[in-house]
Amino acid sequence: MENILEIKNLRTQFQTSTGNVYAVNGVSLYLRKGETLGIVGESGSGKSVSMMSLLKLLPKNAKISSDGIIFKGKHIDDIDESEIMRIRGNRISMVFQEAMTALNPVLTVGLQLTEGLRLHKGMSLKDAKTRAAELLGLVGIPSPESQLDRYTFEFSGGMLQRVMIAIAIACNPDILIADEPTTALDVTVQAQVINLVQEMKEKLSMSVIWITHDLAVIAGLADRVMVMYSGFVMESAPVRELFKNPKHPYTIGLLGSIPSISGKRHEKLFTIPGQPPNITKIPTMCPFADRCDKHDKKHCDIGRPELKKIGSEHYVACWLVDQ
Amino acid sequence: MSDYFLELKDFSVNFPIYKGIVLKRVVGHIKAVDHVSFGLKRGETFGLVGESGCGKTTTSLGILQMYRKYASGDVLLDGTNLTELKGEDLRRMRRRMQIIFQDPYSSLNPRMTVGNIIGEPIDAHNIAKGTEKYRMVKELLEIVGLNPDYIKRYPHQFSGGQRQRIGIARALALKPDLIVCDEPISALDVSIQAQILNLLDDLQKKFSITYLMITHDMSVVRHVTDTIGVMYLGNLIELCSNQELYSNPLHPYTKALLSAVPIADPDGKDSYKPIFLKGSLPNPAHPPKGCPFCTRCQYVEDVCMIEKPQLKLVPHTEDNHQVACHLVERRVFT
Repeated sequence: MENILEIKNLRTQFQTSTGNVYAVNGVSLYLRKGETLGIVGESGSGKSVSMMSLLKLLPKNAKISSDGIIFKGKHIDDIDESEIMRIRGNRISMVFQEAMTALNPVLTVGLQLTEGLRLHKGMSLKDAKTRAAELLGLVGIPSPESQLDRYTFEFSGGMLQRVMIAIAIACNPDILIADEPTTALDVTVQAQVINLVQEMKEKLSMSVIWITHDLAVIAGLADRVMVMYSGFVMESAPVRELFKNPKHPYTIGLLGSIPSISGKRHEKLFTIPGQPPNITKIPTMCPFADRCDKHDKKHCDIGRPELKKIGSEHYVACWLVDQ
Repeated sequence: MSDYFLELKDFSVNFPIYKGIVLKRVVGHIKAVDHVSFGLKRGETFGLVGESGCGKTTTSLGILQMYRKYASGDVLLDGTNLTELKGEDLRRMRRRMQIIFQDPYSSLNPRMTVGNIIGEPIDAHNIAKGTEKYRMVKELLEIVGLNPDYIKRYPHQFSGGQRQRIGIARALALKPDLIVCDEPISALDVSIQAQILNLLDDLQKKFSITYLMITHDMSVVRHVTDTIGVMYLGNLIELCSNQELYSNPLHPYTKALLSAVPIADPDGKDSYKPIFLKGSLPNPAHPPKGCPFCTRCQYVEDVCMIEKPQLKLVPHTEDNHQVACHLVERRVFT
């Protein structure tokens, strides 16, 4: 199937008063039509920043560069603000982690829902309101018409996340980026939100990029998974391949360290020693080397491994993994 | 004398709702914890689970005697009823119970050095002074896996996992018998969570500490606890051993909770069938009249809306399995 999005060698750095912070260091990815790509990583691994860079949602001190971002066959890396506005929230939209802070507390939910419809689709306020109520119904909010005039504080966390999904899918986007949409939610609500996004994806034939730190969530919904660490892609593979046959020591460590609901009680968990690295300079060696249990001085300390193909769609950046 | 190290009997916490500014009057109560009874055996890990707002943190702070004004019922630690103690007697008991907080960023004073943070409980209870205290703090740092030379550093110089270790060292300073762990890993990165869980496990073995583990993460509970209590809207609705709860959950809410936990295996996709609860959590100021779960339960019957079910031993189950549900009693579903 064709790629709807392709990102080549994306790099993002922030210039701060105490020096540069290298958040994303050469991320390449592709997304097919109708596919769900999971991006997994810890805080500071660059997963959110790379998606924000794509939509140019970063503050002014961010320097974004790439060898090309191609959306539906068109370069969108060098377009100006007015052009990206036509894509953002229209063709590519985003659902954020905390609905309570991502939505505006002094505007009604209805206004925030109709904003995109009026801007991108040129609808009249009346039409937009009808459509907004439809959308709220679609995401499973009871008596949608009466909810339009309510404010965010009148909703629960799970309901607000539904509202945000409704806003994101309002213009039938090609790509929905979900940035940890369930992290702040309780587990029963999380299951509902995941189910909702899956349902919407089928209904509107969207492609989805799902960002999370929770491997268990990813296992159930992604087609392919990309593991990020310190702004680099460490491993990328179809979901079953990644869980059954992980190659990178970091992926293996992450998978080993999650307590499983079917696991044994009081069994020692596998741990990755040390702390996530400092990202104020670009490492010249493997960024994971000092925490890696397979650390080999001969290779790992000398240069940074490039992502190499080791199977159909399975890519790993590690010196110690043979073809 | 009961065989429990810590026991709660009919424990409730009711927060008053005030109205008016000058003439403040009580217009109602929020039943944060509603007649809860359970016990912890010495050296075990008891998991208190439930979703946000269900009263698990309030229960634990109530045990630590933080809500004496609003609480009723008995809390027995090693046979002593804490609710009857006052002054110096209570202070002496406080030494035996400590807490580890959820967020290691806000639970450490940014203006105190690590040495002062860990040394504070030692000062407060006049355990040691001067070089003796210094030696104790260094030893504590070593126990939790931090470099003892960090004693003069400030919290901002540490990462999240290291800060949580400082919080653990502070809790250990008084050699407590009971430690309440209030979501100790939910603010940490995935690769760090396992480190902290393993550390807590090691400390328990080394010092035979009893843990009250509060969490909403069902896979963590599965991993670390011996006995589990499930709370919903201030009520304890199910209570049994870890093994029994995961193999034979009985309360409809527990079933829904367990079914919603994502499985970290792509091949588990087909067996993953979450039960979706309708509606949302009722307002705790106006809880439903009968069973607290009756507004969202798929099996609800008339009796559920009238009479509140009590926590009762279920016959023919293992490990003292207790459930508060009318329908389990009558075996309406299996």
